[in-house]
Amino acid sequence: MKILEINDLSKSYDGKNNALKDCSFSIESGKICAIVGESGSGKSTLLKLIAGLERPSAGQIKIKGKVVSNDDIIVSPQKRNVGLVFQDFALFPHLTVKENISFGLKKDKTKKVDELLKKIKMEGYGNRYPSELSGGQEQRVSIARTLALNPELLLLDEPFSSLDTNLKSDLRQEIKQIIKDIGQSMIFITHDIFDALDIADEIIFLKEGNIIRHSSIRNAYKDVENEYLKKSMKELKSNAERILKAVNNK
Amino acid sequence: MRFYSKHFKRDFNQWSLYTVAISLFIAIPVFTIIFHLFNGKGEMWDHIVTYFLLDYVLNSIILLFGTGIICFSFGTASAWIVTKYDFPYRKLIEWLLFMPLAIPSYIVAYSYVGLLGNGGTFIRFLNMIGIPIKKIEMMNIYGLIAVLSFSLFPYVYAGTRAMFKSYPNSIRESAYLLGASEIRYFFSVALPLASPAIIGGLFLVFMEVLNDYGAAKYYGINTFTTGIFRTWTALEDIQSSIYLSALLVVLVLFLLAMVKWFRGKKSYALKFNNEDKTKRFNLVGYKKTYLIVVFIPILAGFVFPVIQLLIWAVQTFEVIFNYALFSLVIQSVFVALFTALIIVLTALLLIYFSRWSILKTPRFFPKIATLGYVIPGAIIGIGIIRSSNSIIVFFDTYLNLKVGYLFYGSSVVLIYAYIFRFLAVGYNSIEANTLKLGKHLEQTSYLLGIDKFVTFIKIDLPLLRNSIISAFVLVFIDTLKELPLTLILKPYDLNTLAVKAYEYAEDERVAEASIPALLLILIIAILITLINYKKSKTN
Repeated sequence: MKILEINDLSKSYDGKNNALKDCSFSIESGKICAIVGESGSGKSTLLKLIAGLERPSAGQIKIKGKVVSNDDIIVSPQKRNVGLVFQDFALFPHLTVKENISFGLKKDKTKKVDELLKKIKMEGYGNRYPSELSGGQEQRVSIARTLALNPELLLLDEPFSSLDTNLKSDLRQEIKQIIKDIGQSMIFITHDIFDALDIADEIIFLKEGNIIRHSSIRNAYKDVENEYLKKSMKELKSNAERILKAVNNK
Repeated sequence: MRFYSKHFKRDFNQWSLYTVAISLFIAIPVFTIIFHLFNGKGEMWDHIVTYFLLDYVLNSIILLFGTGIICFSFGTASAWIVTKYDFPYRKLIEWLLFMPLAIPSYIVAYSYVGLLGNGGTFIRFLNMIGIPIKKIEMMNIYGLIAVLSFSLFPYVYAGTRAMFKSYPNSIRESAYLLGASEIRYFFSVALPLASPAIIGGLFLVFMEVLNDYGAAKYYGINTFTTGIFRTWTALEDIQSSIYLSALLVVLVLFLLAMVKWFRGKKSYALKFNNEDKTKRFNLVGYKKTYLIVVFIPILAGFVFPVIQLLIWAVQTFEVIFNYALFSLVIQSVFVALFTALIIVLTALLLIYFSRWSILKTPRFFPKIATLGYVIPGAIIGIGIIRSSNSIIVFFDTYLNLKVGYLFYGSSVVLIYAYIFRFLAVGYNSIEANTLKLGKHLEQTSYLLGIDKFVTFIKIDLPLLRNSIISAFVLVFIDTLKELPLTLILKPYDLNTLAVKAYEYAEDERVAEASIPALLLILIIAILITLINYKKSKTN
């Protein structure tokens, strides 16, 4: 079953230039999809349109078969059952970890919070404030807060960009584990192809507001003709060679 | 800006409507003035143009020029000395430099006549030490420039000091390593970097100068504001006072355009400190004389006027200190509290309604509602009287209802006028902090299924608490000090400390004005101290 269907989606902020142009794609339920592109490629705009935080200039968005956005209808973010984790985590600074996680819950707050704290391995941190957490911990609390509401679709905005290399690698695997355990559908945006290759099932390349490729991770660089993709593949190859060479020299 | 959206039907929500409606309601006085401009000139207009207009224009320009130069000199110099150097009691002196703001300029004007006039306190002191002098003439335009400058220079000092404090030490160190002398560093680096703050402070000074009525009236100087009052009350020609108001608005808009133009050219991308980590040098040798620059404005703007007021207070204590005075304090504080509360609520409504409006055009309307801060009180007063009259006539003619007493028998019109005049003070200070909060927190809350109102209560309000308190206190202080609007619009049975002090001075009983004035100063001084303490604690 398709969790997300997007048809001819466009967005312009100033009425002249398009941040996103006629984008169409769909994602199957339970899959992890990475959206890869440079700064200004329209990745964040796409995520905000799916979440309902921005309104499209044209096109249609369906979540689990239901239209949530087109020229006439707009379903508010509160009613889309979509979770979004911002790049800056957006934890409420005046609330504790427990209060942050239970913020959107209406019943069984304590039980659910304890379960989630266990899942993200932060059992002893419930009464701390966000300012007392490390970057990685803030990231996990932010994901737990979003998962507390069992969203149909989880969206992550550059989830690993503010973390150092070691933490990034560990956290990628942790997040993948948590998401796969609960069969959650997820879209995340990144400018780092390694993030995508490590945890995603499928990949979408965005350039200047256009989708230039949508494929499974396995076929990400198969038969590429686009110049941008060729360049990306070349960089990936040279990075891999450099790492191998360094390892062999040691 | 696009005024039309092809998704208007989809994107229109009630918040767009509320934003536009509230903004237009608050800005009624502006539209009234504009509307009445087309009613033709008043009976006395030709007489005013022939005999007074040149005086109003020239005096206002001389006042702006004179106060501008003095406020710039003392404001920037004192800010530089307290941020660059360390000396005994520096923190106390930094606080004292704010204190002239606690004394309304018309009260400083009265006190100087008591100090330097015939048989004045300072004159008697000079006679005692053998200097035979009868008086120092203050009641002329130069005296008014001095009085307004020493009352208002803290507007320049406050912003400039904050700017100097925020410079990273690396800037100064780089300049010195490149061979710049202290003087060159000040003039070619520190001062240009602070220019947006200096210009902002000077603009506030100019607005206060143009809004001043009490001091100019007492010293007998014809300015636009005194002219508007005289045309309306003595010449009984409200249409001509609307014409004068329009000319004054043109002058204000010209100043505003200058500020925008100058600021637009001077924006710097520099990583400033949020807290005071400035390395200070000890004041040694001849540099100790720099303290004279700091002490002159403190003495002239605060200490001397307060001493004179205290002397008068001792003389008039038995006559003035009674139940009526107590009632006056209660009335003043109550009106100011109520106004501050309504303004903070209105500011929050406008900020959040326009934030919640999906359409972009309505977000422009709060700018119209906050125009009041750049329009002198006298103009607002006339605009409101004119619109109230139209409403009263409408009710009387078409609905046969007498509503006049609602407008002039209660404080409703006065509070409405305060809202228009001071909304910008509350709005700007809260809005700046909502912008700092960003949108991610509220968007996260929406995505967690929480509606706008609950998000506002649970997330925004607690995080904005400090800025809301600051806005409340600033509006409270402004309302407490306000004179021209209150004089025009207060109901018969309401009085404030500011008006009472003015009335005593007008009746040639200036000594009696001292106790209401001192009470006013005391309340404001406590609040300014609280704000500064809160700010330093937050940092």
